[in-house]
Amino acid sequence: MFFRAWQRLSSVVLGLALAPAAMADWGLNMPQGITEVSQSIFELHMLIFWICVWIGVVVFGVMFYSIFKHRKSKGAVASKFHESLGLELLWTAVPTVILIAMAVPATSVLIQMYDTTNSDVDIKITGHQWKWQYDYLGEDVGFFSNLTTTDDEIYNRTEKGENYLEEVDNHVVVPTGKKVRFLITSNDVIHAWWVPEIAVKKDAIPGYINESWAMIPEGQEGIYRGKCAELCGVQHGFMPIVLEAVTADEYQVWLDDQRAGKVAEAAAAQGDFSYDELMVEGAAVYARSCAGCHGTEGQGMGSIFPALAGSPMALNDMAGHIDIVINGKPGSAMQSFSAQLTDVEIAAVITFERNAWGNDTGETVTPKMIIDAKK
Amino acid sequence: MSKQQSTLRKLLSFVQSVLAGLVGIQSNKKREEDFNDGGLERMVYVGLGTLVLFLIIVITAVNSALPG
Repeated sequence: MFFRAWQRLSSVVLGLALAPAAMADWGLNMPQGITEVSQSIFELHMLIFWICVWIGVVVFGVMFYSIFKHRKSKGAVASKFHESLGLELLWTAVPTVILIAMAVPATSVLIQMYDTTNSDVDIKITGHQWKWQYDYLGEDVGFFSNLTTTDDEIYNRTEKGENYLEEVDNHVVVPTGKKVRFLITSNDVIHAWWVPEIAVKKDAIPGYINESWAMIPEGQEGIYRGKCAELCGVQHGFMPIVLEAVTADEYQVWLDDQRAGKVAEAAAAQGDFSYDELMVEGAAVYARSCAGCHGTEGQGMGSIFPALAGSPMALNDMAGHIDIVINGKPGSAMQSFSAQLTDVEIAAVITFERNAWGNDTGETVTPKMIIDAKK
Repeated sequence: MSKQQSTLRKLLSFVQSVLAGLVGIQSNKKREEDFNDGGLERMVYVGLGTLVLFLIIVITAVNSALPG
């Protein structure tokens, strides 16, 4: 009876051991991912998991068997001895062998994970409160990646979209079949860049550069989502990562588009914009880049993020207003938007802030004024 | 037993004691012998030698595991 039950339990455990993929699909296990490294990590994880399971089964099995077999009601008497050299050697040697058996594959995977040499593409990733900045080294391409989920979705004023809190304006695009090296750092507090499907999770630490890499196999083109994995402030949950894997050819086209877009932006900044155009653009930029701290209606947030509605700076000090948006305010949470926004966007958002929520100054800030202020 | 054999036996006994110390397993009898025999100086030398050997093993293992 006992033997049959034990046999049945062993069959279940063995069945589970042989079906790691099924467990991953179940959703309780870690994802297998799409890269060679992620597969290696998954296999290592399963190996260690089953070693632990079998240790547990053996240790608790012996323990419960002993408790049952040598119970007091059967008249068992505890044997009293001080030392047992053989037993002590056994319980030292067995864990040592098990640890070495685990260390060998673990070391192999770690070496694979940390080998960032011979990369084809290098991307510097900088964490900001609360967005990611991507710079493609040597390609003259760089941008910020901002959350696009609207406040209406966040505050339940409208239905939540399919990729709620998981969509951004600019995807980080990588080619498949190429080794991509990520250089990860931070501009303010500690963040962590995490995309589970490529098994990359690295802390972004101010003043320090962490490295990692991934090679997404050809044929695995698609969107892979991740998030900040280090509590980094009030909007920690609002800085997702969207990684887009494309073919090498598509990647080259995308790089060319990015460079062309940059040239077009610079040319656009020299053009003339009407008050209405700046207000429309400014409202969009404000919602995306400013509302998180200063509030959707410019009402501010506590004593840390000042209100812009009725603010003396927004009403009377245009030079100061331009300066604080371009350069930020040292010692405060107000960061520099010089690299985050284009000249047109900065002009638009300042115009918007000086005329929205009853500020009504009637003043227009042009992109040319921003270019001059940056000199 | 010649004097040479006796010295070798003692040395092996010290090595065994040091190795036992490394893994934390030693019988009471052997421990008492070690304390009664004296030879603290020799024990320290054997201990230091074992430590150097351990470091060499670790460094070799790490270097052989690392690529290049």
